[in-house]
Amino acid sequence: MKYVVQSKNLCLGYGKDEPVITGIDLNVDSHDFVFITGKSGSGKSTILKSFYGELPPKNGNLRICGVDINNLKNSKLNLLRRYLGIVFQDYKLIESWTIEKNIMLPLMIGGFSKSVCEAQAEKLLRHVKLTHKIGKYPLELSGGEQQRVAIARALAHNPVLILADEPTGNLDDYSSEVIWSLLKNAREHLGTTVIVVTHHIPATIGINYKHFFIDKGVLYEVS
Amino acid sequence: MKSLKNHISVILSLFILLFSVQFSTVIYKIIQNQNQKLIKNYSIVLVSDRKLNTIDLQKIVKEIDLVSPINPKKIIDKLKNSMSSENLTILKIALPYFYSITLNTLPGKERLNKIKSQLLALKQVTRVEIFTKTYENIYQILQILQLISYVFTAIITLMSILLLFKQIRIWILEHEEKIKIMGYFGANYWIKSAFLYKLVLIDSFISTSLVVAIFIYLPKSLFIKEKLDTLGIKIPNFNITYDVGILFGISLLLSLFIVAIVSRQMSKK
Repeated sequence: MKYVVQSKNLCLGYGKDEPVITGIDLNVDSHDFVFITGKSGSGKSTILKSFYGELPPKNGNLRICGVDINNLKNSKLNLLRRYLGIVFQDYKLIESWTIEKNIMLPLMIGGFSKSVCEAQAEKLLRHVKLTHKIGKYPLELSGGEQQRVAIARALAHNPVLILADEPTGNLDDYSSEVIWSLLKNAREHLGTTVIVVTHHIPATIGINYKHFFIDKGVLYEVS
Repeated sequence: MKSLKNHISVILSLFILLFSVQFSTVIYKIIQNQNQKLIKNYSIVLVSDRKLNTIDLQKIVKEIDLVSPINPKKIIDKLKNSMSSENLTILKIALPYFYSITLNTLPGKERLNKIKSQLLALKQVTRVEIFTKTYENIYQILQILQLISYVFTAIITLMSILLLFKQIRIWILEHEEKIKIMGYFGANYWIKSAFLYKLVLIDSFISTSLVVAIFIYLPKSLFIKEKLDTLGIKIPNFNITYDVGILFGISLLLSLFIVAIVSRQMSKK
């Protein structure tokens, strides 16, 4: 598998309406760090949704981790998602679960034993510097801390691809910096491919990355 | 608090359902007991020219349990003072054979009339008395009681099932976000709905325990026991393994079935 994400003439849209995004040709190599930027409502999140199978393509081809997303059965989509780590702007943590249980979620789904799940959650909590919050629930944490938990969850099962939708959208500068550093580390130390949808690329990112810009439903490669 | 309220809704629905099922079973058993009593106290009287036996009559009427001869000595003794001994001897010779017939089931009015005509069809049988009126009244009351308990159970069951459907839909809606998040990380149907199955398992256990406790306690309650003793009714004993098994089975199967239907319906949306 050369490309982690490969699309050809990809058209995306909602319901029976005309596609809002047309003709996307995109190849993302393994270990790439990709930014997709654009104005609000330009369709950045729509692209990401199609990458994790939430929005099926209207036209064209899309392969994620070598799997053709078109007409993918639910069972196959579930299997594919076990190779992905998704980070949402609104964190999407399970409020009734403790933060460590939230981090364990992808591992529990993957069928790992309880001891493995707990050890990995503890390791990741150390990594995101939240060991002092063990036993707490998401709503007891600040926004930045919740997003760190969300990133720890996305990394828990060593995914092939991380898809992050505005991961620093609601955060202050300090929290944003921590999040970027966690995503950078994932690429550098784990070799994970990272695709981030964001309004702007931080000036201090300090890594080689690919940059795509979306405007009026068309995706342009910037660098 | 909200979660407790949701649990109570399911436990209550299952409890009412199981209570009505068990109540109906108890009524059925009481009626069966009463039927047996009625059968024991009830007999058909048959008059015949010749001797008869149980086996021969069972070939004609399969419900016959026992045919026992009635000794005419009592009647003859009563006539001793008003008749001469010669006439009494003649009477003894001329008297037909009297039999009391007991049945092994409690047949309806039509069947009883049929039995009468089947017995009368025998050449040697001259008269058959089935005492329909007394018998019919008690039989009808028991039948009506049983029918009422079945109707009552059917209505309660239907209501409970509807309530369970509604409550499980609410549960799923409440956990919609959680289910969705699990889906983003590749959880299949069983992982996503595992908590629902776990909840109904717990609720089934609680509701069964409550019903079992009530039906073990009720027959032992002095107040109820006294009342039923006056009526000559005995509540059948609660069979811990069999009855609990049946109640828990009904509760679990029904709730699992409803969860499966509702969760599959909602996952398709």
